[in-house]
Amino acid sequence: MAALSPAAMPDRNTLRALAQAAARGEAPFQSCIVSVGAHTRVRNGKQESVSAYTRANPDCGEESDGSWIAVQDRGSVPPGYGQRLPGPQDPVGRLRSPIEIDRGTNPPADIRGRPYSGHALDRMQGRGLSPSAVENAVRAENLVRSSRGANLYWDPVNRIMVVVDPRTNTVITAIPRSTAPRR
Amino acid sequence: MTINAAHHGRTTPKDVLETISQFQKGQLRLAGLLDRLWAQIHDLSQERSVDMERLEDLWTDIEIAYAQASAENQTTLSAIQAAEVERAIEGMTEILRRAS
Repeated sequence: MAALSPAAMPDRNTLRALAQAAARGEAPFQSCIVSVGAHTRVRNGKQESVSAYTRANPDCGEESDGSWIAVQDRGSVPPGYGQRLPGPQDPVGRLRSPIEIDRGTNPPADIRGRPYSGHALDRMQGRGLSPSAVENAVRAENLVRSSRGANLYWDPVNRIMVVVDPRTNTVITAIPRSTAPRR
Repeated sequence: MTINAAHHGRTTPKDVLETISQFQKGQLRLAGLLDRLWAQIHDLSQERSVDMERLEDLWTDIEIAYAQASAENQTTLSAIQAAEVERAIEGMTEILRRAS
């Protein structure tokens, strides 16, 4: 089933399909939406949608308190329509909202053939690490561990930890540490 | 490594717990949390021993999640990354509570 798009108000059949999908746990709003429906009326002999609504699971966070969320059909897409509500699988945590990533200072760059993320360059700049010191740490014998898409290198001489994305060989962060990282 | 009383930082475990609390209340962004935790962890007063190695490892776990999200141009952490951050924060909290 196609995901809800904010470009157009779904018709009754689409809404019914959404409700059925929601009941099966397949709705594009994921499990936050427990039902989807529509109010309709007949005008000029033709049935049309007056409003569409979704009902959110109260466990889905502060934004979805279990009340009906009306989606008015007035020829334009209402604010928030088609926007996915946070689901139980979303990173709301104690904050009950996603944890945001700030845009750093530096853009990504290649230095001597090695790609660096903007965040890595920010860290290096902030902590006075040169690219040569970082490159020196990225050696097979310095690989401490490889997990969750990150290779962690530790240079015990200069006491620098460097994290590389093994898919792209990009340095994603580099920081000095006072202790050796766990293996 | 557990650092001993030779280290005379002025930050207390309670100060670090307060920083974590501010983040959990939404008063501090993740980037700010990382910077402040880093500074505070390395300025911890060692009136009572703190497992510095473990704290640095947990900080590193948060940093890696952040670095990965940033490298992918994500605007928010993924569920897995956020879970990793929360797990690390819980670990830090436990260590700091024991030391405070």
